[in-house]
Amino acid sequence: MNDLVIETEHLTKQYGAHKSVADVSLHVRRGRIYGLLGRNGAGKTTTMKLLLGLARPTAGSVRLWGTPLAGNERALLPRIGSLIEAPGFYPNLTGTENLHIFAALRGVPGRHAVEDALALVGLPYKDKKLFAQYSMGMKQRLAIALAVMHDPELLILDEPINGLDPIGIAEMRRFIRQLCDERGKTILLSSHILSEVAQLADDIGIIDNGALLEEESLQALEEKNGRYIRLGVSDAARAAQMLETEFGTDRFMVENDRSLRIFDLSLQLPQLADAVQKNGLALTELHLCEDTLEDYFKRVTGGEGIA
Amino acid sequence: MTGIVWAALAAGAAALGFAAYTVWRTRRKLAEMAQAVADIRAGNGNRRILADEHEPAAPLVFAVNEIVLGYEARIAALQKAEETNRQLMTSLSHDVRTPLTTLIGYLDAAHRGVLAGADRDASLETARRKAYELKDYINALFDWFQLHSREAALRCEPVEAAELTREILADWVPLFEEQGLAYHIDIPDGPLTARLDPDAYRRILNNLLQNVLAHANAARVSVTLAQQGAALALHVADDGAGIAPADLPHVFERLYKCDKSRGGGGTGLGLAIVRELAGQMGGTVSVQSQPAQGADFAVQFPLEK
Amino acid sequence: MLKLIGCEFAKLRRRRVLWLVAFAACLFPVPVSLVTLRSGATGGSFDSMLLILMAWLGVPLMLPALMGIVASSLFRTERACGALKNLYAIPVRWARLALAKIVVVLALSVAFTAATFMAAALATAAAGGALHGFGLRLCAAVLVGLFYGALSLPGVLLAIWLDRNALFSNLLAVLYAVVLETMVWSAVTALSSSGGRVPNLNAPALSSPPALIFRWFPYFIDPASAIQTELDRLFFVPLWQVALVCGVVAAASTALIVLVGSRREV
Repeated sequence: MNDLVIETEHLTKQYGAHKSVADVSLHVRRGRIYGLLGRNGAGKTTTMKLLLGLARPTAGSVRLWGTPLAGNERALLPRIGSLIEAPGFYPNLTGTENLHIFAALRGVPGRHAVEDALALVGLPYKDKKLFAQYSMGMKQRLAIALAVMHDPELLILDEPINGLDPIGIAEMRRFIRQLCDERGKTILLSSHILSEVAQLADDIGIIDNGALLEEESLQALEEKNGRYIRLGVSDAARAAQMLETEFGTDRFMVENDRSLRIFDLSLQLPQLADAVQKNGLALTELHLCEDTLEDYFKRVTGGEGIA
Repeated sequence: MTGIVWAALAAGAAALGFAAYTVWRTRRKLAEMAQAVADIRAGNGNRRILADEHEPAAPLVFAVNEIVLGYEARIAALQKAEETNRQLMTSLSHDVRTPLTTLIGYLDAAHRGVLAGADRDASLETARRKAYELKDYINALFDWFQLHSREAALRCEPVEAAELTREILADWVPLFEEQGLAYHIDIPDGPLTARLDPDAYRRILNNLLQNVLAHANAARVSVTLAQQGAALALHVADDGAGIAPADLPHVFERLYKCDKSRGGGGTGLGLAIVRELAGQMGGTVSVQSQPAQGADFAVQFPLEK
Repeated sequence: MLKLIGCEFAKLRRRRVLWLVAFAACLFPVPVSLVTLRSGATGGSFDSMLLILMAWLGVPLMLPALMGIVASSLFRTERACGALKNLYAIPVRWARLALAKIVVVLALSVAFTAATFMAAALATAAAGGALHGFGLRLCAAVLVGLFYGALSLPGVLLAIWLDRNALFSNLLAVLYAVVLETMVWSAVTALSSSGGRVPNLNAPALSSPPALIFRWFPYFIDPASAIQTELDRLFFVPLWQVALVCGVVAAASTALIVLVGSRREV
């Protein structure tokens, strides 16, 4: 069984002169939550549309479960549930009637699929309220109900917590985690809110200006940016050499002429201080740091942070 | 005349066309099913087949989905059970090995004649106690497994819970006084009848009180029995060390010990047995606690009408 | 496909646009039929009244306008409420969706003309006029519904192609209906011998689709009538000709609607 549920190769979408998605190579693994993180307008929604065949790529390919999407939509799309942009339902029908229409067109996996889906998201079955009268939270929940009604293996959710209140956000988070842990689904979700992605995702992909800048598991990212020793000296090059020869480690990064980050935490701070001074360097800073994911994000996207 | 003939021919053609269409659609659905089943057989238990509720293949499709879902659930449960059994085995070997090793150590020392006189007596006494502890642990474990595999059937009968509780507590009061533990008992005079197995109920109360004595470091314990709506509620509360919020959801789990060093005596099974017994009698258990503010264990049973 | 059509009908629930169509269908034939019956112009014949209603003054104007409004509303709903991406994700292709909507439009056209016919028949019966050959005339009404439904499709295509707001599309529908009506009038004018005019039997206006329907209708509902003059022969248009012309119009419009819609991204 192929472990990669979604695999894109150099996926590109160009509108005129503007590249909305530029050379994106995503890898979403089975049974994990993949968080696509990027600012507004970075290309998250367009990428998801390309994955669902809602837009045709200018270049590159999309493979789902190892099969190319182009030409195989009929076989592949019923295995995917999606929520793209705003919830799209018929305003003159009730929530149940809306779901029944989609259930009739797509098929259902069991006899009471619509009823069960509505119960799952906490909406009433056969209610008289028309979709036009729904609150934002109810609309979002109905969209989720539509996405899970046919028990798909893969869920593609575009900013699922958009427009929800804090309680709704917590519920949605719990729901998504449950879908992955208890039902073994694979989930690709996008967000511009770093904290949300960090709480939910197992793997993170950072997208900016249409390009996938980084793709890493959350664990690895946290390790990479977790803790490090910040060493401020008068001469970073000398210090680097000292680290390599005297301490035998190359797990450090030179930030600039005057400071380094040491990722090898087994080094003792007092020893470092001694060694620095013995080598005739002036010590300006020595302490244990914790970089947050947000700082990392800022660095990777070039400094402007989340918009 | 010809009009009617034409109309009949048209109707016939339409009916034939519709039949052919239905056959073709069912054929296509069966081919889809075959592909999906092949995928499931290859190991993808999350694959579902979709069908319209009213098409001829629908009952079959729904049945296949249900079967696959059932098997997936069973596999998941079995895997979980395998995991917990593995945990049990490791903790078992740890929990038995340590006291046994200590025991052997003491006995070896006595055997080698290393110790003499009062030291020797003291270590023999310690060895004896360790042996008893080991026996208690093995007994508790065995009880737990029996309970869990439903071998020990509970004999539930209508029991007057207030009287029974007072009876059980009568044995505990001397123990409280011996330990210097202040106690408060609040049991209503009126009858509160529930369907219980008296021995199991005794066990529950004993385990809860034992838990307080052994772990809470409390100065005061209170036992209350009351009617809450249609249920009988037994509360055992103390003002001791309390339970940390992180541990709170897990206290009733088998082998869970809040004291992470895994020392400190106790089997870690007492509360699990409480939950199991309560569950088998149709009741529920819960706990409320704040660190350093004590804990309140509650057991609820439905009242007998 | 059948499911899609069923879903299209389900989507029409609580849409006021349907009530408009039903209202128009039931209401407007009544005064028209009463007036024509009372006036001596057509000799009080039910057939003549039907001809005027179905092929001259009533349906050619009302049906394309109403169907244009209904159709543009149908084609707009998914895009307006954002449900189109959900449909595409099922997957449902635009071609099948568009075809289902067109089938609904045709079905509503047939319902419209059938209702018009029934209303006219009731009005005639109530006014004491003579009714005969009910079945054949009902059949004719249904066929006219199909034909004019097909003929309204180019208007729908135009509305979809230009893709403006609802008001614009509705006005376009009315305009298109007026165009079709004009075609009928040109044909009638060419054939009329009132006011001392000589009928022009070779006028090109007589070959437009609405004109063909106008010419086909009388002989269809009364096959027994005799062909005596040159003028009469013009009214002998076989059914297959009309069906072919309308079919071609419908097919071309459908194909272009599918083309235009599938190019648009969701």
